[in-house]
Amino acid sequence: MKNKKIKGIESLKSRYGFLFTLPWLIGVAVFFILPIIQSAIYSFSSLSIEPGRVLVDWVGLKNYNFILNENPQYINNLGAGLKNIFIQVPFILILSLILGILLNNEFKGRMIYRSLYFLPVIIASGVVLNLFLEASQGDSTEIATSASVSFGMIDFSSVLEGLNLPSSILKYLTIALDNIFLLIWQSGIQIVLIIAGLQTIPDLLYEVAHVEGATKWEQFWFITLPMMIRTMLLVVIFTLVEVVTINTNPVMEQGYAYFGNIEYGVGSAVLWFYFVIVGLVIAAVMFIFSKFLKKWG
Amino acid sequence: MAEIKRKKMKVHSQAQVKRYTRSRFGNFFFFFCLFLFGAFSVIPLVYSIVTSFKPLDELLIFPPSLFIVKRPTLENYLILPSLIESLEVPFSIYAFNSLFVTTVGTVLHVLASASAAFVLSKSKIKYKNIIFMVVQLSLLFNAYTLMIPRYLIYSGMGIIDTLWAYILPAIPSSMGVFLMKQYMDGYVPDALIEAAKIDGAGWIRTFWTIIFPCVKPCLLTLTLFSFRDMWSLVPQGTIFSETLKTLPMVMSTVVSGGLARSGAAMANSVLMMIPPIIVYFISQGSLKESMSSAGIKG
Repeated sequence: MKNKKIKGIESLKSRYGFLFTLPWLIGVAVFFILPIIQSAIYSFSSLSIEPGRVLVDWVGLKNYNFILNENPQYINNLGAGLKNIFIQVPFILILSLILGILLNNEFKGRMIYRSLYFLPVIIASGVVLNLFLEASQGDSTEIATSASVSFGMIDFSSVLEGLNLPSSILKYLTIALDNIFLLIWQSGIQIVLIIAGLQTIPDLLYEVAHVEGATKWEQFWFITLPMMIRTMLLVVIFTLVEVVTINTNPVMEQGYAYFGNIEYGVGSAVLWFYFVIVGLVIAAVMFIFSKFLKKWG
Repeated sequence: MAEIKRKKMKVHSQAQVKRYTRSRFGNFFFFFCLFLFGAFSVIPLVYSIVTSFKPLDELLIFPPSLFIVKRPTLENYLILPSLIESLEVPFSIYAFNSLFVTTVGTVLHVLASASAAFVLSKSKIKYKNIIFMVVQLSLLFNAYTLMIPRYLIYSGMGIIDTLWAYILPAIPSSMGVFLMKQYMDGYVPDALIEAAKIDGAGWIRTFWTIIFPCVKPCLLTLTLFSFRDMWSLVPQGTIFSETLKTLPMVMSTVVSGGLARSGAAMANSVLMMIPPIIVYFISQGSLKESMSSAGIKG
């Protein structure tokens, strides 16, 4: 530092500001970047674990070749995983936007309602969510006959059975109900983020729009949505990550299964190939949003 | 004339009376929707509370009843102390570990995220876009995916089987920086920071007195998430000593025991939900204040 020519107080201060990121930056380097690079190397290797150390053998593209060419299940899982993204993300997005806007209205008991929607978020990582994930995961009839009968979604299938519907419709309804639960449970954080975003829009804009004779519908498209574009980007990325990395995602399950069998190389390849595709999706989303941000933000 | 008058009345009434929608049916539909979805999101909670009061024979009924307990009992809760008694280590040690790990981890995580996000969002340092890309990449990788390489790093640092194995990895979790940075980009005006600069405030002062009050809503949300995650954290193969285990690790083994213990398991999970819910209500209380006092609007 002493030898360098100090350009001015500004650059000195900006270097000082860099210190602010240090605790976090070191942590990220140690606990995220290094392990991520390691796991990328693992995906090109075959691992064997001995007491106290891990032996890494470079095998090139063998793992990728295995999952893509010799394991037909992977392509299926990948397809299903990506399909999940395109079904669930828009659904969660629209649902949480509608609920967020409704909850942003002023009415009696608003805090109670908000708490209702936020409760799943608070307890989501607890036992209850796992039970529900397990129950909504497989075939519902299988759960109904399985040993762990006292938990989960069976209540609804039994209610539905009482309606004497044809079995195909029944099955569809059960799956839909299961997923509605899951989707509402996954929308909690998004609703909170959207409410926070909505509250930053100045009332002034709505008043002007009202005076100018804009309908609520027009106000939504020309005020709410453009003002919310930043929040929506946040919510979209958040939802994407959530849907992509949830334990019940078929690709994640397959990867974890390989981990369970101590085939870390193949497991890492399974996850890495998937993450690269998801990364491209995220990049595309960011690109589309950056266009809107330039236009509106 | 009458029509104009009616229109005027309508405008007037809209200005005076808060209306949710334009019609009575709309109002009904509005509350109906809110209620329906709200019910969906609470049912699991209600179900687990109800189940925790069921006696053993009712637990075994198939199909299980969702809301009705014929003979509610506290049995499931009362059995917990005796189950805890059988532990080798006093219960208070587990409780202390849990509280310590959760509080320290949460505070450090929030502070580190907020300060990093402040610089990433508001300063002009080099490579900050690259750093932010890294943040987004690391969002995808969860603890389980990185289990093996992380284990090697932990053992290299010598933090395996210490309380640091809980706390240190939680501090740089990227979600916090991601949320904070986006929030600051959108809702902390640059003018505010420039004004502070002109008035002679340094980085620390700007951060502490200007940024912190502004991002309070985001800060509280982050605290809540972090608290929730730390509270229910079960580390993957990094803690072995009995005296270093936390409540979720111990309680899950205490109440494991098949169907016979499922009532106790539910009672346990209901009790474990209480601390995050308390934190939620505390944060909601101060959230209201901060929303009205901080200069967020506009």
